[in-house]
Amino acid sequence: MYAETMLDIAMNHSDSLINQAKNGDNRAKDKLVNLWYKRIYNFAYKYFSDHDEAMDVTQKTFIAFHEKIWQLKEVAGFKAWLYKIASNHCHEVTRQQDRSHQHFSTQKAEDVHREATAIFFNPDRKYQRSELNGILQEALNTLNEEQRTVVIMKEYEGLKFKEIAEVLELPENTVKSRLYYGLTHLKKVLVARNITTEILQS
Amino acid sequence: MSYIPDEITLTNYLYGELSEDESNKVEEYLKQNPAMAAEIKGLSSTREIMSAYDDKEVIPPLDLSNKPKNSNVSDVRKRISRIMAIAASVSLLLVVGYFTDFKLSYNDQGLFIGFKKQTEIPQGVTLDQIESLLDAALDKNLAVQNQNLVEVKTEMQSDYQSLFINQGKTFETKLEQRMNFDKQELDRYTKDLQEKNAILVNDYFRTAGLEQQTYVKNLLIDFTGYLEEQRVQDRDFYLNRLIDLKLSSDLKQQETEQMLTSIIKSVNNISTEETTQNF
Repeated sequence: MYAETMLDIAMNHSDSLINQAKNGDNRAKDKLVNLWYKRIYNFAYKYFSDHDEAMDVTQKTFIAFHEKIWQLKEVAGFKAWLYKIASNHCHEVTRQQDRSHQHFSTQKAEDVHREATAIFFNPDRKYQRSELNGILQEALNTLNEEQRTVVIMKEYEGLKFKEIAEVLELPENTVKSRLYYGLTHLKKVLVARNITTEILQS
Repeated sequence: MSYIPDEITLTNYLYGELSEDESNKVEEYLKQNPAMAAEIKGLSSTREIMSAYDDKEVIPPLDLSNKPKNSNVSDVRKRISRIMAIAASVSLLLVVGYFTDFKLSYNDQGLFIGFKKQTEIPQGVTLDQIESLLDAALDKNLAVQNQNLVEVKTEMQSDYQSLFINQGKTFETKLEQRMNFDKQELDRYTKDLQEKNAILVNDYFRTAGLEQQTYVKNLLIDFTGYLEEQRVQDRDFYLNRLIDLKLSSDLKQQETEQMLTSIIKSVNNISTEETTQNF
């Protein structure tokens, strides 16, 4: 808990590091990579639900970070800038996936869904932590790409509405609207699958 | 009630981003619309459930700055390498052609491909003569070619040797420089790590000290409260005991008075009886 807090503090108070990185300091760049690597990986993982895709996007994001950090205009906008790179790479990969790959993913998703459904409809079952993670990822997968991106950025990455709007180049109200409908959809999915807050407490 | 909040206002409400007035308006609306209130409560629960999704652990790579940018760049590099290879092959052919005195020409007599100077073929010669002329020319050419090849080979060997020696020296120098640089980097990294650890430990002890201080303070406050409560309980206890004692004393006094009254009455009765008997 304490280490997490310190990491969060370091991530949110790294203005001098960002300035040094902008000026070409490789050590500062490496430190920033260490600070943000886990966040970007988890963003991409929740987006794709796939380790290899997430690793690929994360590496591409930080390579772009190394090459383009000097272009960053304001230090305060670093977080949004980094997530914008990651989000663009995620979108690019999704766009490039050919039809057969999409078919494979759909098939794979259907299999996972079937397994997850078998678990969901047993209300007395106690969930292992990893099982619950799988179920929640499955719920995220049911969202469309636009809603999923907004939900992940807000709920897991803690971006402000203004930052998400900046990353996705959308009006703030559109972001809020997508989030509302995304959460509404997730609620329906979780209710249909018997996942309640009581499960978390047990 | 005419006020109906849209999904943007409800999202702001859900994330606590409304002003107090707006928030009150939404709450008033929700009081009058239980279905919507249940919906908002459900969304809040959904957020709570989704927040249980743990992050996955991942180890950052040691150095990303030297990795190739992407597949496009490697494609470009491959294409450049291919062009360079073709160019090198053409250059080699030209060099070999130059050393072997390669000739290619076309005139009224036909196409001529060969080495060295073109030999005039005398008119009216026989086929055998042409063959012997060709054999002689080819033998001569072959001998010249072999000699040239030996020269080229010797020259290339000496070039390769000198290149190899030079490259070896350059590599050693670079390796030494790199090792020195790595050592400096390692020292700097270790120093940096030590400083960071010192700050972390310092922060930890400071935070732990503050937490301990707060804990002891709270403990003292709790203990004082306990003592106060105990004192009040003791006081009530002794007060009750005193009241009991007083009641008990009053009872005893009444009993004693009754007993004395009874004794006095008995004594009076006896004395009256004695007086009556005497009379």
